Amino acid sequence: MTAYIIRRLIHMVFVIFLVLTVVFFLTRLTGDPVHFFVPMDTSRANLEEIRERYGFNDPLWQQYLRFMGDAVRGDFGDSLRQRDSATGLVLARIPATLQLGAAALAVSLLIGVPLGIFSALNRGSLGDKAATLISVLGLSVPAFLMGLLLILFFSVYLGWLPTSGRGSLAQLIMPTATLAAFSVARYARLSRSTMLDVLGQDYIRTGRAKGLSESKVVWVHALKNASIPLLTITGLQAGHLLGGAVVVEQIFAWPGMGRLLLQSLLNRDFPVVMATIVFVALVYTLFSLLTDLAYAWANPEVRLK
Amino acid sequence: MADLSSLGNLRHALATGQLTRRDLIKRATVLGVGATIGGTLLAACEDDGDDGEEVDDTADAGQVDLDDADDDDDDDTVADEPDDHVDDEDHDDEDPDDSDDADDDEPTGDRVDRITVGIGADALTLMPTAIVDWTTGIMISHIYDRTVNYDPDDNFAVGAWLCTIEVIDDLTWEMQLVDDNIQFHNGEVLTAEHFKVLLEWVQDEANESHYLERFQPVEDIEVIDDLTWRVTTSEPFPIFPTRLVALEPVPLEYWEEVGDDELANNPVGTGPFMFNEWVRDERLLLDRNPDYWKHDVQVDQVEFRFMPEFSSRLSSLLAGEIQIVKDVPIDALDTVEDNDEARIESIPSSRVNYVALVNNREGSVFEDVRVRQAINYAVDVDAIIDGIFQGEATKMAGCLSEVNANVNPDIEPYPYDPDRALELLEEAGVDPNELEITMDAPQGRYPMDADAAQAIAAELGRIGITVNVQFNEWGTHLDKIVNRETGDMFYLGWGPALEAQGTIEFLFTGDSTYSGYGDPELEEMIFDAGRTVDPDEAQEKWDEIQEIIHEDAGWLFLWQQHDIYGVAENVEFTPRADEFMWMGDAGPRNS
Amino acid sequence: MSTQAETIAAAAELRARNRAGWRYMLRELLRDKIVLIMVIFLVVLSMAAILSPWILTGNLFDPDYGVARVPPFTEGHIGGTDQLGRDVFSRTIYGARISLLVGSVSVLIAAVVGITAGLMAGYYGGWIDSVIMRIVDVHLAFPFILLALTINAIIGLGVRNIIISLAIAGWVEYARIARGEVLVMREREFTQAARLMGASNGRIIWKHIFPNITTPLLVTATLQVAQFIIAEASISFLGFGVQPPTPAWGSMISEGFANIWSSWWMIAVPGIALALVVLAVNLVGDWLRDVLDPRLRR
Repeated sequence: MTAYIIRRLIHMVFVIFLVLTVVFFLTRLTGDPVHFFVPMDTSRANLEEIRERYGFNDPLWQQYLRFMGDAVRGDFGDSLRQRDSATGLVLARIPATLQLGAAALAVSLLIGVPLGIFSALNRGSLGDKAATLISVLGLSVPAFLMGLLLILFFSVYLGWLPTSGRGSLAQLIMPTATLAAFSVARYARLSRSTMLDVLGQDYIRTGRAKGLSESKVVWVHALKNASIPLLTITGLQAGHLLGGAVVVEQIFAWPGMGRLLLQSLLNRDFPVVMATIVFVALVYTLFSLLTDLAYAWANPEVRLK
Repeated sequence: MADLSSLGNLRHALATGQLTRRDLIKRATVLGVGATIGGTLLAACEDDGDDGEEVDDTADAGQVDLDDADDDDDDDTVADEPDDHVDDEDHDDEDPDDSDDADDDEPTGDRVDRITVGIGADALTLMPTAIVDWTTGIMISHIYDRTVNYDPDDNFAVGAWLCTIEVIDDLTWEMQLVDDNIQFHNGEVLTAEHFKVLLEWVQDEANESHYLERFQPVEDIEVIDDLTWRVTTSEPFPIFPTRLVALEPVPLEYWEEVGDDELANNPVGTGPFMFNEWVRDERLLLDRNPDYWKHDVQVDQVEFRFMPEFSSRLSSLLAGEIQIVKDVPIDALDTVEDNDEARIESIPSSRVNYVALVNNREGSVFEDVRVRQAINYAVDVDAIIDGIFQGEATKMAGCLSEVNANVNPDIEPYPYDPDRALELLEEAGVDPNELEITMDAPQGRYPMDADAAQAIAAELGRIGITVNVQFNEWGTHLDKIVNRETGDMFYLGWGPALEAQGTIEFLFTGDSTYSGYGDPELEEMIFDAGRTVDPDEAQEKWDEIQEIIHEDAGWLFLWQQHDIYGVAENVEFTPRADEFMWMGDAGPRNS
Repeated sequence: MSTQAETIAAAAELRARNRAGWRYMLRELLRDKIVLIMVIFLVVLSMAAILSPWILTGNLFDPDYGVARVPPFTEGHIGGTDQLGRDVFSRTIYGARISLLVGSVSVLIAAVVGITAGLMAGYYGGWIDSVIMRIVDVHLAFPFILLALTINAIIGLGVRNIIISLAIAGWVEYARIARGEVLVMREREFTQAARLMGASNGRIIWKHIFPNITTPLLVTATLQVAQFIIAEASISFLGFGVQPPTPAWGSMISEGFANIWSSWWMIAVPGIALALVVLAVNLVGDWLRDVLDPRLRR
């Protein structure tokens, strides 16, 4: 077990190294960052001087080695636009994003899974269709549009909720709903199909035949086995939620990492992009490690190798 | 200067902090009633106590977002029953500094308790004179003071602010502080030394200030006495006053004590507002400086709230959560006007939009001046302004807007005359139906830019010219212009442009970063004008240059943008052509 | 150990099931009215989209501000006009062409690339597997929308580029699924039998493994069409994507977003079209999964 975790951690470091490498070259391909952090009336001669000073004129592999040399010490350099360390900027955004992500994950689990189980148990009924329809509706409206519609209705028209910002619980409601809408559907559909799958299997039939109560069959035996795919998808959701957070944070002025990442990508603030991506990769790989460990816990037959 | 933020906090608490919204409204009501009974009392407390009744409204709009729980029907009833509230106040008020409250409370009768400004981006730093960025500059200028500033009463020519400015000779400028007791928020007194030290900091390459290049000709800074300082330049530097606008002195003792980072994170200025709190990507909160040297500040708190999405900003305004937003889309003008709580304040900005007609590139169809002129005749700019901007843009005649201090007012715009355009093309030997031009344009950078670009293409299509609009992401757009990889036309905006040199030298000389125009003879004239210190002499030169540019049709001249603000009904706010969004003279408004 | 005959029989049974599938699917389709309606809707819309250049009469591209922002059902504009006076309904139908093209072609590319990678990784294992799976890991650590955005920033705006961006950002899902399925299939008797009988690797993958893992891939692809159409909208909203005046639904919605205060129909018409298509595609996808998965058969 310990050996497994250590191996996975090494793997994690390797993946993050690869992520950094890929993102390094990808971002450099987007273009010259210099226009973005100097005034527009900077002369061409000065632009060149600045490029030189920041080393943007050096061969790419030299820049890469320099970057990696600093990165292994956790130093991603200073933001090109803001007078602050990239790592610091990212760290300051983490709580907001984690809060939003956790809230959205919780909401989508709490709504999506029961919805899916309900559908599976009442397969083909009107209720099943309605549940499917509701969950799929969440997939059908782009997040930015849903966000604005929520704001227009609940804030401008009804005046019930604050339009945006972070701080109070009320401000968390609409961003969470918008972000969760997508994952609710995912969870509902997945739990529906896995439940159907599990319910059709022999041991469930056996259980029923042996006279176990229906609720025990469903909630204990079936759900436990259906939980594995749900776990997998939860690992993947970490990444999805962060992607979704980009749009949601933008609409609701939520001071999180998605917004930071988008802005620094658009402004070619490479150090910040790199620092953010490392964090995202870290969260993702950690999540998949936890997922695998949870597998083993949920289903002792799965051998960690 | 141990703990500035706590000092800020303390003052904040004294002013408004310990009061809940309900308290405020109740108090405001007392004041409202009180003011009618005894206006004298109010006037005694603070100098301009003209209308105490205003408070009712201001308190109402101020902080809807803060405590929703308090947002019950109490508010309304209390307002009607002054007796009841006096009672309540004693119960609710747990503020030990009761007496202070009373002092500070009553003047709110003619102040706004808070103005929240919805703004698209966060400040990049709060260190003055370091980074050139509109948002950053706006926020810093509320905490600090500008050395000089554009004067709206003098068509935005540079005028005195902290200092007056005087030309000694072609290479020497003398600045004089306007007041001998201007104090930083921590009590440090501003002297000439402060300017010298900051300017030298800017000149130190190690500090990587964006203003380094802008002050390049500055050679020597000399402190004459406590109030007077002189700058010597290596060459005539007529736009020096413009450059000084961004110089915002910082307290030297404090700076020395805490260092660069802390100064940037806990700024202490001389400005109308004192730093309270800065949460990155969330908000910047500033408290009223009760001792502001220039005038009485009528806003107790200013909050800049960073909201990247304009629809969210507008929604917040309509929901009454924020009081001021910039760049209301044309589409929403009616919505804001129809709203009882908000109004539109619009002003022609000094920012200009144009389409460059690249004349100095091998193979460009615009090498021929007649083709450039033809384009200007063929596009019906007025129709686009009416059709797309609903009139919210001002047509430009030449390359400078009418608020530019150096504009040549005699230049007449090209009239819309498609026949003349066809004639010119024929003279040039160009068949419009064979002509295919690529126009690079940004999307979402300037007001209605994508729509305007399509409209321009359609206008030219009417005389047979095919214009392919290539929309670029902003960064790509800049790259293309800098690397001279655009089509023969490209769309760009420029501003704030308040004097000639910053626009003309930068956009009409061949080697400039974002230029699409080059003419060696004209270039000589431009450089010459840019080194002429005597204003009248310089103006003559700029007038001639503008005529040439107009005649030579270096651009398809389009329009000045309008800065369109959405403002809460109960807030007085005057937009400025120089994009200086300034709460220093904002205040309550009688509706 | 099973006999050769048994494994051949098993393989034959699998194939027979696939063949019988078509008739079975049609029967199921006729039974499920909602899905039937959705399928008809998609077919009709696709036809309209394909034929749109010939059947549409409204102004699609040219600005005509004289008739800008006309509300729906006036002056012959069923869906009103946009801020440049173009017919919203016509643009929406024409936009179906772009959006369906973007959705289907990018999914197709993503699927081909992803499935090939997944098959190779799963079948050959070893270093090929390691390399491909590392790429997948790296890929997954980067949020989908941002990856698509970055690629779009590098290669520029336009319909072709958005298709490429989405395909590059989306192929890993297939690789993961294909690999997982192959790992199971590789151990199945009929695969081993084929190998014993001397079939080449290519033939085994193509003839024996691929046909048996199509179900989850097909379902994924269907759902991803919907996901990509939405993604195109989000990317447009963030300032990239299809460039004007081309009317993809996403760019129309994001343009309508900027005009929502005066002209709600600019967002409502393409928005409803988008929601309906995504809904239809998702419901059909769900239904496909139900129908194709033998364990879920009733």
